This record gives sequence, C-alpha cells and structure tokens, in this order.
Amino acid sequence: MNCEQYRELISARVDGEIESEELDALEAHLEQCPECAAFARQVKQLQELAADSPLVLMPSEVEEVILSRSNRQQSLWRRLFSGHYRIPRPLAWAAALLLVFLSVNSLISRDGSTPSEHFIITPEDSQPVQHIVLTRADIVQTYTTGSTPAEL
Amino acid sequence: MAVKVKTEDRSKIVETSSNHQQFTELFHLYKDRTYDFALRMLGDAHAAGDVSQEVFLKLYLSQSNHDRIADVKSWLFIVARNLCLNHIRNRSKQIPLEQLEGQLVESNPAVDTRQRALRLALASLESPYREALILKVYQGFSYREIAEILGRTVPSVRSTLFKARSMLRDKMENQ
Ligand SMILES: [Zn+2]
Repeated sequence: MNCEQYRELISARVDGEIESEELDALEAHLEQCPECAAFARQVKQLQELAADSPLVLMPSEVEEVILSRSNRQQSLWRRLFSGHYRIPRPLAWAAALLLVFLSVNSLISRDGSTPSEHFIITPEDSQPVQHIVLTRADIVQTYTTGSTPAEL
Repeated sequence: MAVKVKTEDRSKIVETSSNHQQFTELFHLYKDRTYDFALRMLGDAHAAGDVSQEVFLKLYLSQSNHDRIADVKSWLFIVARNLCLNHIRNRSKQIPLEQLEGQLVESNPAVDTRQRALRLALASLESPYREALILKVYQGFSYREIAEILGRTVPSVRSTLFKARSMLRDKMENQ
C-alpha cells in the first residue's frame, strides 16, 4: 500500500468505518511515516472542529409555512372525500379523457369508423382497458350524466 | 341531488387524519436535520427554507398517495439532495463565498474564526465532495446510508470522503 491508500484508511478510521486488519496495517505505517501521521492529526482536528458546530435548527417561520401548507392539503382531501363536492380528481379526469382519446384513435385507425358502442360506459359494461379509471363511482357519473361520450 | 357519503369515503377521511398525524410526527423528527443539510449544501438560508418546504410537501403527498417509502430518513435526504443540486444548477450566478458565509453566520452566531474558515472551505468544495462530507461529518450517516442516498457504492463513498478531507485540509492551510 502507498501513502495515498493509507490516507484513505485514516479518513475511514475517523469515520469509524475501518476493518481491524486495515487498522493494524495503518497503525504500523503511521509509526514510520511522519507525513501520514501529520495528515492523521489534521484530519482529526478537522473532525473535532466540525463536531463542535451544532445542528442549525429550522427557523420557526419555515416550520409554520410547512405545517400550514400541510393543514391546507389535509382539508382539501377531506372536502374531496366528504361528499360536499362530487368533483373527480383532476388527474383521474385527465387519465380518463386520455384513455378515451387513445381508444378512439386506435379504433379509427384500424377500421376507419367510430364504433360508438365502445363509449357507452356504465359500471356494468366497462371495457377492460378503461377498467382502472372507471371503477370510481364519481368518474363513471361524469360519463353517464354528461354529453354522450362519442362527442369526445 | 342528495349526496351520500360512501363507507369507502368515510374510511378515507379517517385515513387522511392518521396520515396527517404521521406526517406531523415525521416532520418534527427530521425538520432540523433536513434544514441543516440544505443550509450547508446551499449556504443560503432562504433557499434552504424553500428546499425544506418542498421536501416535506413531497413527503405529505407521498403519504396521501400511499407511496411505499421503505426508509423515510434516507428518502428525505435523497429528495433534499436532489432539490439542492437542482437549485445549485439553476442558480443564475454563483453567490460569492463571503455572502454565503454571512448567511451562515446569521443562522448561527456562535462561530469562531476556525469554524468560519471550515465553513468557507466546505462551501468552496465541489458538490460531490461537499455532500458526502456533510452527510458524514455533520449528519452522522454511515457509509452504507450515504451510498444509498447518493446512489453510489460504499468504496466510492469512502474514497470521496478521503479526497474531500484532503482538499479541505489544503484549503484550510492556504487560508
Ligand atoms: Zn505514509
């Protein structure tokens, strides 16, 4: 091992991440290499200096902002699921529209016609590909009560 | 139209409350460590506050979405580290070191000259060396944990820390 490799061991020793065989070899080297011994002292001093620096606490203003934002998020979730607003979540909406759009596209390209029966979506006859999105009652509702899905 | 709250939705409300409680506990457990990490990475109290906010908002949303997080502590630092690196990349111009130092002193008035020199030297290291040193020396993570947070191997972490210390020592000597 050369001095560079021993110095890596010095760094690992300070971190308490050195194997016992490595430690034996390092100690033997330090007895005969003043440069590495000096490096070991300096590294130890740096470590002690850093250990003296206390954790910087999160300022209370930042803490308050985070907690109030999370409280707002919570009340939003509560409202969405409490029944006061039967609004499908925007992401689910977007996914549903995208799926319908993609199926229209793929079907048109295959036979050039728009098979309207594919878009009469009720909880009883959901298409396999649309299954994931359409199992939620509120999403299904948007299709059955809104405009005929074929217009999409 | 009369709207009935389905049983499934009621359980969602209860679940949301317990998620929120769990979030608050995790927040109090890790808020200072997260902030300290961001501050030492960025040397900018304002940016560290923004990063902390974003980290905990992501945690909140992950819990609401039932994302499986195996180890919350590592997860928080992975997210915080990525946000810090994005911030550093997007910083229009490098903040002069003296200014960074001023912000650090402001956050922590009890610093002597040697501490200031160390902070200055640390702030001048390249991100890969600075992040490894902060995680090890100030945050007390093990090599294995640091490897997980940084997406590296343990030998690579060990070697990076050695190089970081060598550079730090040279910078301190030349100050
Ligand atoms: Zn040597």
